[in-house]
Amino acid sequence: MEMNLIEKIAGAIVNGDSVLAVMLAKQIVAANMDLNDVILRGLNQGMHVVGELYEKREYFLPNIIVAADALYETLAIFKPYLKQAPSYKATVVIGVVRGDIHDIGKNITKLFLETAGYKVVDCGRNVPAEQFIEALVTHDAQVLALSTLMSPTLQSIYDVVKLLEQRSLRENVFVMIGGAATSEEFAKEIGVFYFKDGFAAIKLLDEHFGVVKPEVQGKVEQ
Amino acid sequence: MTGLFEAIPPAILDGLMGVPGAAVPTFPVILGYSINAYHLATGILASDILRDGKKIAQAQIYVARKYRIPFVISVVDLNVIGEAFGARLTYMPDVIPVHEVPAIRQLVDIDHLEPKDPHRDGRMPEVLKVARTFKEKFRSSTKFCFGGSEGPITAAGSVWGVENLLRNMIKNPPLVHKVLTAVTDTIIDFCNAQLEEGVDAVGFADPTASSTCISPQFFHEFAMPYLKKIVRKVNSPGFLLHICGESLGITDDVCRLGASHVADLLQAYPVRRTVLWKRPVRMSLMKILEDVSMMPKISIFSVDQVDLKAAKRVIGKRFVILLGNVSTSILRFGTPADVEREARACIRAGAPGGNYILSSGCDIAPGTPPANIEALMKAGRTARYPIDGTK
Repeated sequence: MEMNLIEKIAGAIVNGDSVLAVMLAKQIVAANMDLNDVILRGLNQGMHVVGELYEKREYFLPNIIVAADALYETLAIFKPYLKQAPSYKATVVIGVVRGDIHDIGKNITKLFLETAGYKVVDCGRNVPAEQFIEALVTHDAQVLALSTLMSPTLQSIYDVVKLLEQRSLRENVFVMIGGAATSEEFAKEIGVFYFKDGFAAIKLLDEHFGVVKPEVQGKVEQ
Repeated sequence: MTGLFEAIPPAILDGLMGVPGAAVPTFPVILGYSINAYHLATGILASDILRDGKKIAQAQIYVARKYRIPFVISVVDLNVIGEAFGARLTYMPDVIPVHEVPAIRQLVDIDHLEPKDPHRDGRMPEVLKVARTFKEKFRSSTKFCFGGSEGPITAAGSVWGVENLLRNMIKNPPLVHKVLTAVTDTIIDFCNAQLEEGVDAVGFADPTASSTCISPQFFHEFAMPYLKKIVRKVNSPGFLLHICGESLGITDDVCRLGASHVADLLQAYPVRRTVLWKRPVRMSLMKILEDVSMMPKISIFSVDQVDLKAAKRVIGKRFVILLGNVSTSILRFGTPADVEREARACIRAGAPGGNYILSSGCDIAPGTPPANIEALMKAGRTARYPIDGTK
């Protein structure tokens, strides 16, 4: 019965069916199931499938947005019943660089990183270089994820990286960039890492931090 | 209405037709770049340039003259329609404005959406002033003026917020169609007004319609009906559609937009060689076509992250001109030699047989070194038809 509900809620996330997801979430709470387990094997697994479908170009942004809606609505049901604070793999400061406001890609990346166990500090959009530096220092973050959709604002990415160097922070921070205007070659050019999408960002960071991929299907120890 | 064959400077038309000895036409995408460049050259704030059509025109003309680019465009950012509907933008001192708050704040707003007036709303009247200034200060027999706006999906995203728009493509398609109808009617009136002011043809940039954002099926469902309506109702002799990001999967759809059998016929190699390669014969043919109201419309598809060879294969024998796609990051951060290498690769892939314009994949980034823009222009000027795709 429990496994069935977990599979069902994962399916509801994949299909972006908020109504079904919320209904199942209420049943899960009523059944007094282990919510951390449901999040790991149900919700996160659902988003993992969404990521895979996006990678295969079977899913596009509209599908991810409705899946994220279902996920957030489910989490809102669970929130009052979640007790222990989660432990994070690392802290990521994320934002869309100055001059650009296209933040869907950034929001998706944030969502994927959160479901994969990273703490994400979101600086928002049209973020000046200085604000990224402040966030990195304040939150003692290990990762800086910068995004831009448009080519005119590639310059702003470059400006943030330059400022990191000036503040002697470059060595301590893993910098990765994404968004339609960025590319592997541009990342190499300015000495940072490139991620194609939110799903790729998880892989990149897990690899960097030497995280072994959690066995999502198996029973997880509390 | 003049046909595009008359509006296009003869040397450029020779290049488009792949006439032996003609150079590869080169039109880098210069929208917001012009505002930043003019700001740096004059000290005038970008926010002030953008609120005055004359200054926008001067910015475009400044860049066109500096790099000997034979064309200008009236629209330099992709929130003109959105702003006219009431979206709030933040104006920056040195670059184009950014979108802050969509016009539609609650769903009931959608019921009251009405098309906007190009002579009254938002910055549209300033864009009409740009078109007027182009006609007075730039237009000549060797130069070409484009008008245009953001495409319907991008405009709808600016009006409603991109996330809301994309979400409701799945959750509530009828609402999406309502918004698209209002923005499309505005785009039609806006473009026709620009054409009345004297631009030669119009173009649209629709990045949100790319396959980086929505599936080719959604492009077909949500973008095509409106693009078709625009092509039908805007009195332009040709249309340019620029899609940033991935677009190979929608190339076939795009080819159907301006499709006309007359244009496809002109595309056939024997017709090209015997008629279009010879200017006097070309002109008399065009005169006849015009008299019988069969003037072909030309479609230019401007692509970003696409394999030009593959795109040309999809276009096949249809008369669609491909424009693209030197990487904007190589232009910004590479050397002139890098740009030249990349431009040559684009020419090899896209130019054989003609129907090709060398360009950047997207708007050139502020801060791009002048030497790199010059290298791009030079690569087009020095490449001569016939182009061998294998070397």
